[in-house]
Amino acid sequence: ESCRSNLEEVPLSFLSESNSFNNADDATTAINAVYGRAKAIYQMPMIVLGDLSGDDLWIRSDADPITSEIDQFKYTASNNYFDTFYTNSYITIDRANRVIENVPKIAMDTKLRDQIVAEAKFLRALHYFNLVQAFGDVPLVTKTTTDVVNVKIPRDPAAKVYGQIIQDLQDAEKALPISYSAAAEIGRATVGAAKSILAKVYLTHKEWANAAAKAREVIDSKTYRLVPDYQDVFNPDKENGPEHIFSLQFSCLQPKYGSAMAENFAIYFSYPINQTGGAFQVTDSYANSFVAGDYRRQVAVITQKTLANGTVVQSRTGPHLDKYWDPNACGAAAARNNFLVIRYADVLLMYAEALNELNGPDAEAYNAINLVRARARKGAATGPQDLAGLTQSQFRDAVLQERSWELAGEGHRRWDLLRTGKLLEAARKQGYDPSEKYLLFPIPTFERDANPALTQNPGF
Amino acid sequence: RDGMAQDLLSRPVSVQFENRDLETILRRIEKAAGVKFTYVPQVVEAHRKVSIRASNDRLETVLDRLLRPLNISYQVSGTYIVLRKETSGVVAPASGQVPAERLITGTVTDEKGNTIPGVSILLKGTQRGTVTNGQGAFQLAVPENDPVLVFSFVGYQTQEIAVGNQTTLSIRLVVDDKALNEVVVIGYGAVKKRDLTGSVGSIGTTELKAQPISSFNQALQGRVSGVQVTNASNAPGGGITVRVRGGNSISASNDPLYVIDGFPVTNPSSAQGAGGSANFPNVLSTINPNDIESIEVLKDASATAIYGSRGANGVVLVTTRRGKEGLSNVDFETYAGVSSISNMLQLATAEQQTALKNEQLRNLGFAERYGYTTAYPKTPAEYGVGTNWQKEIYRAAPTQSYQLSASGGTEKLRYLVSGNYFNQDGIVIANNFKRYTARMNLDARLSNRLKIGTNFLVTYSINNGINEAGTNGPVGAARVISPASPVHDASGNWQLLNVGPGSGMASIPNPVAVLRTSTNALFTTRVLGNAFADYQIAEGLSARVSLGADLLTSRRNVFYTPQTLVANTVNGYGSNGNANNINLLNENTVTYSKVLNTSHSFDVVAGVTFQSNREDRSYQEAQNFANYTLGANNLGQGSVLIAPTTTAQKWGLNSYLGRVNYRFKDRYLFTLTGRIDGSSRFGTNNKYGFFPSGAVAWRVSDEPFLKTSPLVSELKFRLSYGVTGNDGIGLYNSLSSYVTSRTVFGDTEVLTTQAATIGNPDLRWEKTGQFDAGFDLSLFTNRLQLTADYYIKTTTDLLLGIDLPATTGFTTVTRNIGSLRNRGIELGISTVNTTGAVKWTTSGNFSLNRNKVLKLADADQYLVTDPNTSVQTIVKVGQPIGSFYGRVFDGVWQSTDAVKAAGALAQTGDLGGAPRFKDVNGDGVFNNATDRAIIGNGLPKFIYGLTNTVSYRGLDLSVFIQGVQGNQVFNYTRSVTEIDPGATPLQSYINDHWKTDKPSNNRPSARQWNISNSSYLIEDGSFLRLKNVSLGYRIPLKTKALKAARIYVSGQNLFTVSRYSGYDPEVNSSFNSNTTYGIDNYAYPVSRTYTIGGTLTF
Repeated sequence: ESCRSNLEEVPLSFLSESNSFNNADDATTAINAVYGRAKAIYQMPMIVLGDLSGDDLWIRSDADPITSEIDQFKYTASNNYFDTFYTNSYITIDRANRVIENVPKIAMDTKLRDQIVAEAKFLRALHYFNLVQAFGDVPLVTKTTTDVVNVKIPRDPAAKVYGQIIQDLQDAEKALPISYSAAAEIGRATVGAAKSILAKVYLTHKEWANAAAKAREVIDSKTYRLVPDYQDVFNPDKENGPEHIFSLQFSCLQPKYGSAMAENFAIYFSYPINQTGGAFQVTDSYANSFVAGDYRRQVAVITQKTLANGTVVQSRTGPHLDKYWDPNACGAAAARNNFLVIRYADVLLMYAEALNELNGPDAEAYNAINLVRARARKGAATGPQDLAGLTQSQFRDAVLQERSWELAGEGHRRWDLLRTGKLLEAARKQGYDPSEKYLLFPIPTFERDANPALTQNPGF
Repeated sequence: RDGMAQDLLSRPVSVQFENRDLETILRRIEKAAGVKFTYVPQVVEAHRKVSIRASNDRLETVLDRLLRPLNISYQVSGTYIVLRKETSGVVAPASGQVPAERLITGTVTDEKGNTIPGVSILLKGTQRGTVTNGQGAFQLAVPENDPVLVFSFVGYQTQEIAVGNQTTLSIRLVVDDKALNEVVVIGYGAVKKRDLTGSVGSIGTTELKAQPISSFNQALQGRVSGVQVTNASNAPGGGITVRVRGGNSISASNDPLYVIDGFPVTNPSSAQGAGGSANFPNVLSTINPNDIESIEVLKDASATAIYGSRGANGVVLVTTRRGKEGLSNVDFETYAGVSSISNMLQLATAEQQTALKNEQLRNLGFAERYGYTTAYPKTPAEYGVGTNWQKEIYRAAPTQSYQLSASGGTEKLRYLVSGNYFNQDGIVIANNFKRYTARMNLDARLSNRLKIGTNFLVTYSINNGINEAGTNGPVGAARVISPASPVHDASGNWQLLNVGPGSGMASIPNPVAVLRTSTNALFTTRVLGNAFADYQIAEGLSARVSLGADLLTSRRNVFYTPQTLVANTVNGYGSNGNANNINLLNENTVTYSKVLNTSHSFDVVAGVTFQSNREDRSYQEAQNFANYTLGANNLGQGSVLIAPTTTAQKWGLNSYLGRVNYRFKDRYLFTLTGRIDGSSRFGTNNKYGFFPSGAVAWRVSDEPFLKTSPLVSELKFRLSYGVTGNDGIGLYNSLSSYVTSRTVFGDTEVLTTQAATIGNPDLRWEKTGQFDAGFDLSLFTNRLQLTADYYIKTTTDLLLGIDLPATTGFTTVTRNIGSLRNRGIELGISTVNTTGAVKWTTSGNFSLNRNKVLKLADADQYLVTDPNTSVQTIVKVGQPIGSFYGRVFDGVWQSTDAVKAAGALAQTGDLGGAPRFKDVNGDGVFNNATDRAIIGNGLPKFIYGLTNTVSYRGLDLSVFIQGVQGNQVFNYTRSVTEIDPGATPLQSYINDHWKTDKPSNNRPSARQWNISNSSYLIEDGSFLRLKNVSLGYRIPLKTKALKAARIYVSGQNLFTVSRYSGYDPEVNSSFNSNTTYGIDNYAYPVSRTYTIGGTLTF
């Protein structure tokens, strides 16, 4: 019989499908894997797609011509960033699908079980939201793929995808906790995260009342508040604070857990050993857009930096964004900065935006935006003063401008400009001349090679 | 000489026969006493039945007792005993008409003119004959009617001489060095070359010893038709790509099966090393090439089907040396050599490179840097020539090898014991390969029926390797790093950054610092042994049982001090990897040989074999070391410990095999082979596979109409067809898998479990059907020998890693889809150009293979992206696998006006000096995605090798030329060095790139043009190489102690004719891939080696 056993193939050092979802620990490691993969996007890829193709940031083309194509609205379907974004989104979604499918079958504490499934739905919704904003129609896959032959899935209409996103987020907010206390749970999705993202989905979908209502729920929960010092929003020592609603977690526990933003934004010639990093910068127009006395400019925009050893480093290529500076980074492209997916200031501005679209600028709308502006002047007499007496259209512009000052370099700008219909106008102001086709990103060439059922967006 | 004769005749002999034919008895005495008889069977009437009984009697006594009554006399001649009929040469004529007769006298000599005693001479068509005497003279009465005499002697070619009117003959016999009776090892047995039905190439010790090689498979290079050998790395003990009749597979292994003394070995990858330590060690470098007697390459299905599911890529059989009956020998062999880089590149100087950087900045509209900034105030001219990094890392590197072996044996016990020490320095500083091997091969005859034996090898090797991957490896770094960067900085420490911070130079480690301060050592131990017993059950029927084990353990220590860029920020970085592979084999075979009568004879082998393998690997890594002296020997000194990984895997193979060789009238040869393999690797739905083959051969030269032809000495046609498999698909590929890794929440590490592969229970072996037609022809008494084969191999059920849409959650899956074909022609020619005092022979081989993808699954093409270089190749129906795919470079835009005039044919942002690419689809718009085409292929049109040997007295000279024609190389190194002057370009780029005042159509301007994946980087890979020249001398001194002595000098890789702009066109950096063949990713360069060596036999 040893003869027959010689031909049996029993895995010795990996798990098979059948024994991967047996108990609560399996459910936890499976949901952890979804967060783990989400970090592939919520790092430089989100900044490249979200900010670089807006008007706040630019990249020196000599440092990275491929990335520069996105900055300059010259991108094509073969640009690697689109494939990175698309592929990692769907792999994260698949991991979430596995949790949603398998965890309910596990005999375990039902509250924890429902929470884990809700986390998976939150993450799935978040990634589909990114995909529809980036590419328009995309394949909607909500089940684990088992067949290796019938895999050529066509694109579904964006409206259908939005339907699933809203459904998932509504499911998620019912089962997610308000907060976490255990060290190993810091950074997981909460009910506030689900509501905040749902508010943004409604806003993007122009469901103003729903958007305002969801933002209002977050505000009324009193779970969150603006931290008094704008600098503390980005301080790696003060992560997961009262303003941080949902952030992907990066750490210098080991360099491999670090994030790459610090190096990419660092003043050129400055970072511990980099020679190639530091190519991401803010545009001159962004640096010059602040009103005098805005503390956020002082925090975020620099042209020189004094290092710990006293060396003063001058930028040779214009202003830099200093939000991600980490004096205790642990390696090249490895620093402690979390990726801030959504924070309370964003919710306040969304609330103001939704109310303004709904009824014009009412008192609550002014109140929301002025909270953000008040922090920005940091008690000084100069700086952004409270707004008052604006028309609906002026208020709309004011919110969009405020979002830029407040949130630049955090992966929002392109989506904000798209939502408000200002993307092409903003690009023209930067001296580029994009056609309508650049309102969507192209479906990556590599994916269309693998899946001929995918149609291309017009013009690519 | 008399002493020698006395020695032979006094040997003790025990034989016992009743009523057996003389021939059988003589053969048994040959074995028992270790002597050789030479006689003319017809003359001594060898078929006569006699009886003899001897028990430890002197040979002389036994021969007297046996031969006297038969009127046969004997005489010792050298190592032979010559038998002669003691009647006069003249036989009494029968009654009736007596034909007229006359007496012929003559002498027989060898090529050097020395007389040969004991040559048998037979009057053709009669039983009349004689043997030459001690002076090589003979006399024989022959009839007048056109007598023909046949002269034969062991080791010489048989000659037929028409006497005509002559009465004295002077015959010169020619040594038969390629005797057809030569035995060729095939799987599970051996056959005479004349009886071979399959296509088998072989090399012997001559080819193995002529070259200073660290691995035996290097010796196949250019020597055997149909076998292409490419060095993946030229580092000592470095990896090699061997392809027998082209690649059959796209994603499974294309390596042949290696069988060492009957043991099919596996070649697991060596232990893992830390990031940035990648090199390509050759597992087969654990075998000492000096221990090898012969290597046979089984090529067609008739030959390989006996290896079933592992036979599709060809089989390389290695036979190690064994002791021979007779006097014992002690051999001491040694050689020493020195290697140096065969070709240094002409790189830009520091002045040129810094000026080019300034030029690029100017072109981009930035301020110039060198001579213009406070950080870099020196002007390009002040940098001068700068550092010659090639000179800094390449050196003249010594090689030495010492081998002591003792061999010999008696009838009861034969032995070979050898020990070898081999030490080869790489031409890159700090690179070294050392190997210690010991071998013991024993054969013992326990009784007339039972033989036992063992093959046993122990090896320990230390490979102090270098990182061979890309620009982080020393070869790549030295190629790319700026000559403006010093080896040491102003304070005498290693220069850490390329030139310095903000220099605009690529981030490249200082290669000298990396080599001098880091460790990358691979320690490998191999114990390969098997024991066997052969029992003769009955006449012609014997059984053999063998048990073997191959234990292969490797450990890799890697350590980087902070003086290297990779470990600078983590304060030291080290790793340990271990790999432990245990392969167990049991084979049980029965062989039966039967000669029914002169017309029918059979050789049958049948067997059952079991093989199993377990591999365990572990890996750990640490950073931030308190102290660097202990390095990777004590990872506990690191304060950041990375979680270790361990893996274990097993496979098993149960097989049933059989082969029948049938010969009809010795002219019509038939072989039927089959093997059933049950393999653990395959999906549950496909556990067993059957692999049959059949072959026929016709020895036309033995037909009556050709037998007497003075022109044709040998002509055989061969035809075979069979199906073999390829199980090299990796393990557990049919199963879906989940793997564990880690992430963080806050600053707490947590486990993650995620799906890694998607399962496919239908997975099975790839199947290759192969048809082969060939012939062997010898003309002019073997002065010209020709072997030619034509083959078609069609592989179906091709395993392909299909790109899955990301919507599945995976990016690839392995499936059995598609088919491809290899067709080819192989020619082997050997000629004896001159005989006599100066003997000159030539042997050559030529192989041509055409590969074509016939069918793929759902699409007619797939793109493959090489993970190391991002070079893209295409797998496309109707095309060879691994065609480079990309944009077609079409010169340089000469002006911005030209760009404007071209409209959509130019890319946005193009201006004067930009590279121009072809609008391949002709739609009037250039598009990077759609205007791509096949731009080259790494597979050659043909390959060839040519060896000339000339010998004169004790001198022998051999000249070996080897070449590859019609392939392309993707010179990835230029994609780095010609995109940005931050990486050092070739001198030719400096001279030939586009400038406003000096336009060029060959090289674009210094800016940052996207030239990747385009024909701009494709180069001709054809080359012709003077691979080896060696001159040897057999010293004519003989003392009591010393039997023979030979010294030789040789040169390896003396010169290469090629148009390639990199180090060497023979390059295959991504050698693990079947679809990206011929990429140069800073491969370890070829070296030229001069060797002097000698052999002493005691």
